[in-house]
Amino acid sequence: MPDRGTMNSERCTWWSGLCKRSAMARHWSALVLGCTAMLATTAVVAQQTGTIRLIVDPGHNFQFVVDKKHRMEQREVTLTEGLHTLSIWAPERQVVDTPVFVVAGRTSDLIVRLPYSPAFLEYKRELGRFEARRTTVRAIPVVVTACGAIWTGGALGRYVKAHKQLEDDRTIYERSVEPLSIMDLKETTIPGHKKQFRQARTGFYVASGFTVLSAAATYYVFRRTGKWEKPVFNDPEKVRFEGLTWVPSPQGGYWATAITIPLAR
Amino acid sequence: MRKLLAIAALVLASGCYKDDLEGLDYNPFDPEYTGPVMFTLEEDFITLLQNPNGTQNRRLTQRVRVHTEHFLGLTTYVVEAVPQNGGATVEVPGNEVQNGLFDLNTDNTESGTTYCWEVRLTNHGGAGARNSVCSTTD
Repeated sequence: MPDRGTMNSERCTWWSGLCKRSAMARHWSALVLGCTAMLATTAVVAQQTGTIRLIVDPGHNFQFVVDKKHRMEQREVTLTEGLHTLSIWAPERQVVDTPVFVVAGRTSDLIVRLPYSPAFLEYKRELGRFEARRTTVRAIPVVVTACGAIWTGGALGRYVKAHKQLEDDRTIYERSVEPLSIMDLKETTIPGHKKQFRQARTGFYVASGFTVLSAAATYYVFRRTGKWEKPVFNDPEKVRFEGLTWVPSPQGGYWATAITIPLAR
Repeated sequence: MRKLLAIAALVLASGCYKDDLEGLDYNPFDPEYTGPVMFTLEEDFITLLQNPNGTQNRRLTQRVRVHTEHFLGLTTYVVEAVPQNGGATVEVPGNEVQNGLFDLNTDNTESGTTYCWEVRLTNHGGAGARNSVCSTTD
């Protein structure tokens, strides 16, 4: 049995007048058929997708790149059937590259725990050392000021008490009706209490002066240490993760990239 | 913040304390009393009496007022009077002072002579405010 081409060549023989034009038409028909077949094939392939549900620690701010091309920030992704590569990253964490096999028509869970990046751990250690040093430097004047305040409080108490003692002496003087006890009060008791009062007053002045000075020193130390440069975390994993990738979005997506400029002082 | 301000105010206020116990001299029972006089002469007069030996005795009576209003409180007291021209000391308990007045008598006075008493307030053995009360006989 002759094939179609053969039949066509026979027809060409029968209708020789139309042969040239028919050959042109056959070529176009074959092209259209081919394209149609390709489209149909593509449609069949596009329907064969599966879903990957990402369960990632940390779960709130992770991103991932599919097949080193498309960056996304969602919890589920639908991919064509087959093997894909996911690069998952979150701030302060290490990039985890993992192969994923997508099964058509199924939703699979991908459970990943992103480890902290070594750079972040080093940053945390450095930050801890910084905070400890600053806390120590700040604590010293605070403790001294607190001791000064306690000292001042005690000195103030003694000062007020000594003053009250003198006031009591005055009351005793006014109520006394015995000349001998009045003389004893004036010659012995009151001078002793006056001496105690002067000592208490001097102690109070010294203590309050010390406290004011240490409070001023505390303020100065806090200002100085407030200007200390805090360690800054530059996430190298972020830079690595944000290599040139396509970020799909409702507006059509965009290319994202990142560069690192080491600025040496 | 308010507590800090309150503490600062307290500190400032207490910083103004002074040992202002100077001027403790207004209690009449104080031996160093310098307030208003406690004893004033209310009146004086001469009474003619007969001595046992028949001579005439010109008795000078000085009526003295005790200014109890200068006392700082209600109290018992004794007035002690010492004659400046010689003689025995007289003690007058407060309950014998009628209407704030008591009499001091000097016998055998001479005309034209000034007679003084040092009058002082006493209590439990010590003497407080004192001043002199004088009269000159005619």
